[in-house]
Amino acid sequence: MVSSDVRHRGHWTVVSVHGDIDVGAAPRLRSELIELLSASDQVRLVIDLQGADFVDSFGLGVLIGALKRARLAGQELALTRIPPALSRTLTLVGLDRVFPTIELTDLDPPTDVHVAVDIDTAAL
Amino acid sequence: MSVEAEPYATESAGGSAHGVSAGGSAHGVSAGGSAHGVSAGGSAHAVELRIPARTEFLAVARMVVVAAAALDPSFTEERLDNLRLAVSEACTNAIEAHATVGSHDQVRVRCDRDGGRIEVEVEDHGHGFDPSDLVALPEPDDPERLDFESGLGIMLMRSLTDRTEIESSPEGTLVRLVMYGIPGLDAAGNTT
Repeated sequence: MVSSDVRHRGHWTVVSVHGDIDVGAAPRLRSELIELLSASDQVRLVIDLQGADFVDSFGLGVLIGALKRARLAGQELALTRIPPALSRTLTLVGLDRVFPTIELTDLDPPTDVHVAVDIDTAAL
Repeated sequence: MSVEAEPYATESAGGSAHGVSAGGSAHGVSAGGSAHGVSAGGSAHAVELRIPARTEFLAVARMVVVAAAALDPSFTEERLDNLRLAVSEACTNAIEAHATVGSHDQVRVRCDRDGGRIEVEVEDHGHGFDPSDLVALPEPDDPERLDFESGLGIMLMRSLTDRTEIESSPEGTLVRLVMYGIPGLDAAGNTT
């Protein structure tokens, strides 16, 4: 089970992901990130991973896919609050040098709480 | 195939005297302690689990294997994190293998912990694959690196464990993951 909530902080959209991002949860998270990136041409998206208890290769694939999509559209995407286990995995596969990171403290305070979405685990 | 498949172990009864058995449905999980009824040369510390080949049961497999390893204090949080991910990748591949052939069989997960070492076997009855066919990932600095949204699973298993063995045949695949609490040392302190 994965859930997420979205907040706007200045020019940035911050999506906080909670739960296990594994093969079961990846398709729904992918859809949500695509939707957020499709909101406008000037989206600047931060993915807050502090609550991501576990991320597997499919979860990494979703993050890679979102970064690719953002780059192709000339949008900004960054990760924040990466848990230690995920940080080690990113380093292991050489993705630590690929993903931009940002500190939440560098962003403006939240302006509004947008939505809270439960992402059901999708059956394979 | 790079390795000929071993004959599969005779299936043991799911619920032993110490086991948990949850119904006989397609969604049942069964687990057994090895002192009763594991047939594949089990030690006194083995745990065997059968999960339905559905992704929502991955969390169960991760939890059981990591809990078994955590009984040994030599496994640090970092090593347990590595084991958790490696086991999950192996089970994901097994579940996908069953989905590909339309099998409703359960996936067998067996972990045997002994003297600072844990060995986890994940067995499926899919079509199998040739491990030598796996494509190497481009270097991180290669622009094509971002084209690899999938295919990381086996690379991760190999990187995260001390040893990953894959025996695959058209009848199925057995993945064996070996990890030591102290990287590269066995219980006697010998370099492995």
